[in-house]
Amino acid sequence: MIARFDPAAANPPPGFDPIRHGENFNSHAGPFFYRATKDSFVTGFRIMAHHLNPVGMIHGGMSVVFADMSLGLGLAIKCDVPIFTPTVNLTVDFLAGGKLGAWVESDVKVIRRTRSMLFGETLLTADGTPFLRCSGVMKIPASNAMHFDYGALFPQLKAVGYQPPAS
Amino acid sequence: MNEASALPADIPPGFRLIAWEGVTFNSTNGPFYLKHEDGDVALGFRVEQRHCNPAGILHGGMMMTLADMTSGFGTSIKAGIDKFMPTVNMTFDFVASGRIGDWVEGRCEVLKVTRSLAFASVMLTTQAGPLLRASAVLKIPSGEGLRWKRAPLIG
Repeated sequence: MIARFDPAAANPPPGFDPIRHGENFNSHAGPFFYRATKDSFVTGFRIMAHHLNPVGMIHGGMSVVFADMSLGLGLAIKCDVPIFTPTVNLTVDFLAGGKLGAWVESDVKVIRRTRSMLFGETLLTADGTPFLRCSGVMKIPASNAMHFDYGALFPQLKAVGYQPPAS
Repeated sequence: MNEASALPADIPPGFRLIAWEGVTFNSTNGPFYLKHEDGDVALGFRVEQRHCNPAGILHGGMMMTLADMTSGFGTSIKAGIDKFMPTVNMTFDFVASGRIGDWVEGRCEVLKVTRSLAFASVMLTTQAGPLLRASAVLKIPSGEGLRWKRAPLIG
């Protein structure tokens, strides 16, 4: 069974639209959101009851789920690599606990793009306060990669005339 | 009907269902199982479609969730620390990919426990071999720490 959570219940800040990721793990880990401008791409989510651990704070697993998703997606969008890029390494520092109701945001920084690898980092904030630091390495598959139609998945990109900085 | 028969038939011997109450991250994304016998501590789950990413293979977030839980449960049980230990740092290497039907198992080695920190190594495996390697640093609260209730085990 795949649990689905209503994106509207997350009450995202103005400008954020739901990420349409189909029926998979992201369906019940989310809902996730994005916001694009001409020169920025930011992802976010609201900490809800189904993200909490037994002590009522955000689950470490949930924090890294979002860190991983936001880093992989942010690198792919900013480097204009519209294919599935598996994570090779992820390193995270849990700077603070995340509370129910907080809005978490990720603005990924591209460190380096090679022919076969993407290196990036992101500092997640919760209601504007540093919350989790993450760096990661993603693999660009040589062949048989799964391609994404980012234009269809993220309509804002075209609407605002987004230009990838690192392409 | 005895308790053990409540578990799916494909759960390996010795594992019991961790029955979290309410709608939290663990209850939404599991079911997770715990084995604790003869000095062996392991967590596990069977990969379903709901644990997969858009490419149809096991989602990295699901692997990291099990690794995080394995570091917490493993360190708590092996080092005898009955407090909730928040994770301070984790590092993950994605060694292989997991597929629907795989049984994923996590085991933890406690490297060092100080007054305020615990250091652990975690390895997730499937029948095909290593899946994910992780290391973790956990904070041991100075006082009682955050109040929590251990979930009952079924099976």
